[in-house]
Amino acid sequence: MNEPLLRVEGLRTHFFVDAGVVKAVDGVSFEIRRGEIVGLVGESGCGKTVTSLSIAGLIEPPGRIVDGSVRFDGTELVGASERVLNSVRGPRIAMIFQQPRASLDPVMSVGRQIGQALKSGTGLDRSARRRRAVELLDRVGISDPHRRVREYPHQLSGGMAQRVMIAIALAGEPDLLIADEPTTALDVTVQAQILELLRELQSANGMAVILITHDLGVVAEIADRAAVMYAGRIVEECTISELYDAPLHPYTVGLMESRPAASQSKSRLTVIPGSVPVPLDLPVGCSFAPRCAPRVEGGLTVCTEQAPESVSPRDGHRVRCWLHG
Amino acid sequence: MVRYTVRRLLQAVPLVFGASVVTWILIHAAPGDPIVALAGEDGDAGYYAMMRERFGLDRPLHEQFFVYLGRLVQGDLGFSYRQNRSAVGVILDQLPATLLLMVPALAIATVIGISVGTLAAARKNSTLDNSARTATLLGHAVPVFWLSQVLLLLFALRFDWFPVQGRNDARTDYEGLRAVLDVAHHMVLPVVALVTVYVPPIMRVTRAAVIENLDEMYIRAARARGQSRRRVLIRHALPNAMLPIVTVIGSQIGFMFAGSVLVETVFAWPGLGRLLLSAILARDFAIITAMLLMLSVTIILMNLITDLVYSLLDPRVRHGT
Repeated sequence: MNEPLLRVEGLRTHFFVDAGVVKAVDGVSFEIRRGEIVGLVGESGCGKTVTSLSIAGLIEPPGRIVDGSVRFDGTELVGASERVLNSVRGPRIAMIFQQPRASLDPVMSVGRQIGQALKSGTGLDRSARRRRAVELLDRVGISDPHRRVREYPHQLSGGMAQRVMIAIALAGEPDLLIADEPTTALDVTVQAQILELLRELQSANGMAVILITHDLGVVAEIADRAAVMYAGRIVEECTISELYDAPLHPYTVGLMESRPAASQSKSRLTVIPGSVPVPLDLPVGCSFAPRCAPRVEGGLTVCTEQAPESVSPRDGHRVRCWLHG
Repeated sequence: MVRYTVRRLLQAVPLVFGASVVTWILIHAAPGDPIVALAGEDGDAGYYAMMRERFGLDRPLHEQFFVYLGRLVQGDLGFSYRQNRSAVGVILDQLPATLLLMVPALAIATVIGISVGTLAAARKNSTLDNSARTATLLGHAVPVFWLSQVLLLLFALRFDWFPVQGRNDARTDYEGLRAVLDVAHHMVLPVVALVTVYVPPIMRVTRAAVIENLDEMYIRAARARGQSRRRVLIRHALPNAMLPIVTVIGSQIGFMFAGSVLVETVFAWPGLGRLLLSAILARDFAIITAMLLMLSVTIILMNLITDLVYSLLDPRVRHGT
């Protein structure tokens, strides 16, 4: 039980484009245990999605995993054959995406798309698959599943499409669900419903969830732990309560401060000065150094010379920052 | 669906009518006299006059036009001066020969175009893709009459693998299977020439549409539920790419009678293409107008069929969203 379900170590995924090498993911390490929900948090472009696609082996050229390891339940996925990956994707690692409607094939019925996820390994025949698809739709809270199973994606609302995506993901009874911004494109009320559904299914199935989001509120609501990404690296990893009560990395601190809070009636939100570095041209040393106020105040010079290693100042709390190293 | 079809067919009526009127006017505005073409240049003036009277060509042009219209609405497409028969009869006689070339050529071109296009899309910028694209470009660029003649010179005259021209061997009188094989043997070169014309657009459109769809998010989602590269290509990318492919094939069928002129002429194939050419040379008005009318009807019908196929292929079209 000590062996984590997924262990990502030193993962580097680079994109070889005409302008140079985009180091979208540059040394990501984290672990996830069975039944755990981990929020992978960061601004857009920080490498969250590329990390998740790398785990599932879905990086297409010009992108390539150049280094690192993804061990899933004892199997190394980096460099694994397409056959191995095809058997892991779906039944063991399922994914849902930011744009649920665009993630469903427009010319294939909902039932058949769920059926595809059931097909591998289950040995169900056509009518059994159809029955199972109806059950799954019912399970994710879609009303009138007998009718919906015959419908096409354009007949669904965004929220319903995401429920269908979740039904597809559940079809294989996966050990790990990667949810990439599952609620970002949805209405606020629907967001809450989808999150509630995810949490409910997670506790019923005991699957682990990687929840990728830029929304700290979402993480606070359902995750056990959070990993904060910045410029292709995880800069801080801790429990949700620590994230809120005692964040260590200046970037995390900035993120927490820049949340709009209903209790405070500030006219302006706190912002982190500067912008995310272009991944083509990452600064030497710590990627956050150019935007880091505590570095300037503390007069640290090492930040711009050498990248900080990940350290663990507290048990179960890791941070990549010279201030704590 | 039935209602839609009926409505579209009714909409087509004025279109076909207009097309036939324009055709008639254009042909009569063009120089040339059918009687001179029929009876020779230095004929007897009295004979010319007699023939003109017989076919109603002595009447003023506007009267002739109304006679034509009157017959048209009754479904009478006119009378061929040259063949002394109704134009429709002449055309129906030649139609099977043209279909005999067109149907296999289009079927082969569709299979080649879609499969090579899909493979090229799946392996973008590979050797296969680059060779397929080069071949397509050549196929586009080479004039079909030139290609037909080269095929003739090379494979019929030089190597003697195939008969030179015609639909069957005039020297023998085969029956049964041998006759079929003889016709098939004659078909090879013209069909190859036509396939060369038909494949490039189908392949190009297939390749482009499949590449576009392979970038869609549902492809990644399908891969994420364990579908292999191959299954994703065939079950997801290709079905979603079918609309533009069907459009191209539909328009090729629409124009197939017109497109057969050059190939049929080079291979002396007794089909509609050759009929149209000889009718133009002979100023055989009825045949020309009837054929152009048939051409416009085919194109309109193919557009309708293409639209109906859309709704079969894409639920979004079916549900009108």
